[in-house]
Amino acid sequence: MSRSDKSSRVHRRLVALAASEWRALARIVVAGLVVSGTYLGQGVLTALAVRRAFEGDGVNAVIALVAAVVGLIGVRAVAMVWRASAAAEASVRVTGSLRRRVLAHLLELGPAWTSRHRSGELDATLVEGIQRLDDYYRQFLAQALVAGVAAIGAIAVVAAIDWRVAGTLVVVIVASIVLPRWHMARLKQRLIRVDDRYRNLAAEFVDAYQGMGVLRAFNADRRVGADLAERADFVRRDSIAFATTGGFIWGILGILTALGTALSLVIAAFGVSSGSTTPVEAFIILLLVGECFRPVWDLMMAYHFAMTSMPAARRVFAVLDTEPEVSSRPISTVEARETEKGSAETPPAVEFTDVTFRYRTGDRPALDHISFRVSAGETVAIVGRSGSGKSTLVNLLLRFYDPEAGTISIDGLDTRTMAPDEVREHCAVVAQDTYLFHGTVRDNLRMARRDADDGALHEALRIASVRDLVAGLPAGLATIVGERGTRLSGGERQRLALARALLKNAPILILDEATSSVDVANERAIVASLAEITRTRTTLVIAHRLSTVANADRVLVLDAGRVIEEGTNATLARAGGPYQRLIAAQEQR
Amino acid sequence: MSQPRSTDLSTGQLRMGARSLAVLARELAATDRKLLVGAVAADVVARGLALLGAGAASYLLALALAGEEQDRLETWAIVAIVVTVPVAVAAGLHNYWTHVASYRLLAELRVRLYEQIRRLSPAFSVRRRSGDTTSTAMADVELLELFTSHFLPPAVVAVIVPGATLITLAVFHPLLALTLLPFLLLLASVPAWLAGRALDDGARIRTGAADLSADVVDAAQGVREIASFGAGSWLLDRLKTRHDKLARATASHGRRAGLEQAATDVFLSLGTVATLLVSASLVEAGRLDAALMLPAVVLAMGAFVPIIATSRLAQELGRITAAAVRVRVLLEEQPPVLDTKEPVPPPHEVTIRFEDVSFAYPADETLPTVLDQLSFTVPIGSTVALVGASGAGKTTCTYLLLRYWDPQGGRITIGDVDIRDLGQDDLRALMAHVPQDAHLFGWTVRDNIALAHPHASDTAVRDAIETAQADEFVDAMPDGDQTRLGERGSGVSAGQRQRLAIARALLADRPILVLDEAVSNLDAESERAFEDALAQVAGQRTTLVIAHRPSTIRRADLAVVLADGHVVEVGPPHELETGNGELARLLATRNT
Repeated sequence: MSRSDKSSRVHRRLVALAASEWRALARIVVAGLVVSGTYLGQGVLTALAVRRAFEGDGVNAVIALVAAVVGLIGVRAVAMVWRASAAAEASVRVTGSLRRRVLAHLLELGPAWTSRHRSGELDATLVEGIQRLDDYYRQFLAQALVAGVAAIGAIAVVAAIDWRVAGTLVVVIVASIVLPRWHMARLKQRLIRVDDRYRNLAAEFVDAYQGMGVLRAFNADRRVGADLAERADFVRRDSIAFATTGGFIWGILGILTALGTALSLVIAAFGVSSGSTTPVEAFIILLLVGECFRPVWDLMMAYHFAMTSMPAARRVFAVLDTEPEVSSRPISTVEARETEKGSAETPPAVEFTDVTFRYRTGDRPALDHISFRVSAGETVAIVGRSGSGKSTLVNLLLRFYDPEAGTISIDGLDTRTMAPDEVREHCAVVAQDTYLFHGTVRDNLRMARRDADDGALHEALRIASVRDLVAGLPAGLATIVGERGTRLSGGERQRLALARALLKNAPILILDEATSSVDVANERAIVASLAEITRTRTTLVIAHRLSTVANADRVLVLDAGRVIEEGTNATLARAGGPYQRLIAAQEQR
Repeated sequence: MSQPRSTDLSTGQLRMGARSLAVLARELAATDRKLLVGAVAADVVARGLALLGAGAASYLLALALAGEEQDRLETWAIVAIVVTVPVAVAAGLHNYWTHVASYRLLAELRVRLYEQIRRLSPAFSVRRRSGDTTSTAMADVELLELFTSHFLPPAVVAVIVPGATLITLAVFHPLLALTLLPFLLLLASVPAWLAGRALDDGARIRTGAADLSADVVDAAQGVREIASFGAGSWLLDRLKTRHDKLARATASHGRRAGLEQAATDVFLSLGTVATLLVSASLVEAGRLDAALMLPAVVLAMGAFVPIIATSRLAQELGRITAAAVRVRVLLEEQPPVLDTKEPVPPPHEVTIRFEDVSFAYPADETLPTVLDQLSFTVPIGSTVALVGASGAGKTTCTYLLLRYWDPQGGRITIGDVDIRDLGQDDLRALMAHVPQDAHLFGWTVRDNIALAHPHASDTAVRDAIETAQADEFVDAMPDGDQTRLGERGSGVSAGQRQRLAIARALLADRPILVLDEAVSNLDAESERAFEDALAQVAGQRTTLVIAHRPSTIRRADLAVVLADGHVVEVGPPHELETGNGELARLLATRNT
């Protein structure tokens, strides 16, 4: 994230986001001007009333003026309510569309990005961070738009009466805006520190919470608690430092306001004493000095809110500004597209040509000039030890990453000419680390096909050998599976994930160690029912267990990102190579 | 999961809100009484001096209007100007001291929340989502700062300062004080008018934000699935419902705050006008010195200031109360297992016995598994495999052994000691557990492995890594075992994750080893190498292993077969496998 990003630029972007709400903004400005105008009018009318009272015109002479003042008070109350509702509605709409944009962008960034960022931090940005922007739109923008006008109006009235007082006020007000600037840089710095520490604590907290079972099992829970306490203490220290610096700025403002008020009144008093100021003028000054400072205080208060929402705004923009690892703008041309065909009946062929890829953290390539082809309708098994590059193949095929060199094609069409979503539309995946969302079984299945009816769900569940299990759950398809599916066992989660992939009904099926936690009896049932499914699909089966490989048309053995052996199950099993050794290791037991 | 919410607040909820705030106030007072008294005193001084300054300036003006001589004017002019300096100093001290006390309380609350979550977990995490819990520990606690530094101390001052002002005005003329008093009371009552709606808005905002947090954490961790299923719109719709709820509450809160602001302004303005009118008529009637009229009006306006400062924060009281309740509810949650008062020393002999154990998860946890009078024994030094179809209760047995929950009937003993009579730390120190889904932290590989012994020697860590067959990929990482893992161990494959979890358990070096499908993602060669290595150390260990793979089951001395929460078969695996029973069926060696 670039912290060098100028605040003014962030402000501009935030205001630009609100541009679509210009009607509400106009309402806010109009209401704000009415509020400031009534304060001014109230000051002037009150001064006149006091003057009359002083001159002994009697209470009756004052009543009309007082009635006018009360009228202004009423108008102001209406304007305030009106302004607040406009600001609240505009804010909610702006933050809502922002949240949607960030989430949509997050999906575009995909797992390549999220795997490098912590969800606790992301949560702090997307939820509390954007919630903070509500303050920005509701408080700051509403005040900032009219504060200048209000202050100038009040000073102008004072200037018409006594330029010395007006001059003094201008000097003091300018000083109260300029002097804190010295401190502002430090204040911002401290805010960024608090914000960093805070998000760090949040991320550690999520991590500790999710791993609490392990922490307790190994009696490391107290140690991690002590570590978190230390981090919480950092937050405490930095928060106090921030509040103290902030207090200093408020102190400057307070002292200058008091000083400005006192000086104005002293000047007015001596003016009255020397006869250069009339009593009415003195009253007006007395009552308007406060109005000159009110916008400054409002603005400072609003600025305070705005500043604390700045780090959140920066982070939000930083996410929005991150380019995805893979471009979602296909570079395809019409001609290229025309080669794409494939009838609805024939599943596509998949081909890797001389593909090399390396993860950011690795110096060793995860895939090293790998080439192979899976023909239409073929089932190819990929075996190899952990870390041989099997899952990386899937990551690249799905365009979570793009290769460093070489091409991947679906039906002869380079996947880089397709939008990632389009590529993924062709594929149904059961990932190694299955992920179920908090929600019902039905929700989790329907994410694959939103219009699927219960009949389709049951069919998918049947093939994945999990229908009976779901039927036995307390609320059947409506049972909530818990966060990350914690209410189900590992094998149950895998079977649900398989059902979800089958429901998608895509022409390319990718099973990445899809049944590793499934018990033998269920695995057998799954293998049997899959045999039928895979006949009409192009299938990639990744496995370290050979039970699921038996039905494959062809087997590729991977090692260190390269194909070291290739052939049918039967030939490789007798070839005396790595595959035969793998089988031997398993059969001996 | 979210707490229940309703649009009309029951008295119970109001009482809970009031109690939560009261406890919070007590806790704040307990942090450092002297500091807080100092903070309040400093604020009283600051506001009092400010009033004095304003009074002096207006008195000065009144004297000038009355044609007083310059000498007398100068005295009051000096008072008015000089008083501004100590005002700022006192205000600064107030600010500093309140924040010191407040943030100390916040840090303390976070530590206590962690401690509480520690005692509640992992049973708790089955029904509370991580985003939800974290938002209580982070955002909810942070919100309390508004109460502890910006509401509570100023509220005390908002009673003292206007009180003193009223007395001063009464000295001028009692009628002035009587005129002002109702407006002050009205002003102070504004937050109470819409208190119900404020609390409701607040509760909806806090639960709304927490629900959204939980979904965002879920989405971020499941981004891969969402992307590969092209389910972006599915997710956005899901989150939109959450966002809309939060937005409605936020907008309602904003409108209500505006209403309160307007009401506050109306009372302040009317109070000032009324004081003005009354003082004018008193002057006219000759019952008030004309020179006191302006100071009277200025003092009246000043009396409102501390109340307004408080009522600005009172607009947020709904949100604050909701946050305080969420914190309190979490802190008061009863842990599922309690430590015995007098723990017995841990046994040396570690034979594990399940004796007539019956267990069902608490109703709100909707976990279906039930154990029904289950009994089996894991003799010391032996390896016992727990076998059964999904949902038979195998993993539940390990949870009970680790005392994540306690059984409702029967007992579990280790070396003839009921595990409930042991200290929880002592109990867990007997066991190393490799769960089905081992959590890896966003730390270095080494820190993840050395969880039980952070100061383990390099050789010990290395041995564990090698025994767990993890050396090859750990060495291939950019910084070896000093490589930092992603969140939840992202970037590490399922098989690698299991190896690290095994290495962690091996390094812990404990007499009992509990392996819950610990090798399901290992390839055959690695599994064999691991189990051979384990066999060398297993002789000294008592091992409970959950497995579905025949190879693993066959290595056990005894297989205990579970079905529907009962033990249906016990015996050496090679005997059961060739028989006609449940194990034979499960391993599919028997044709069905």
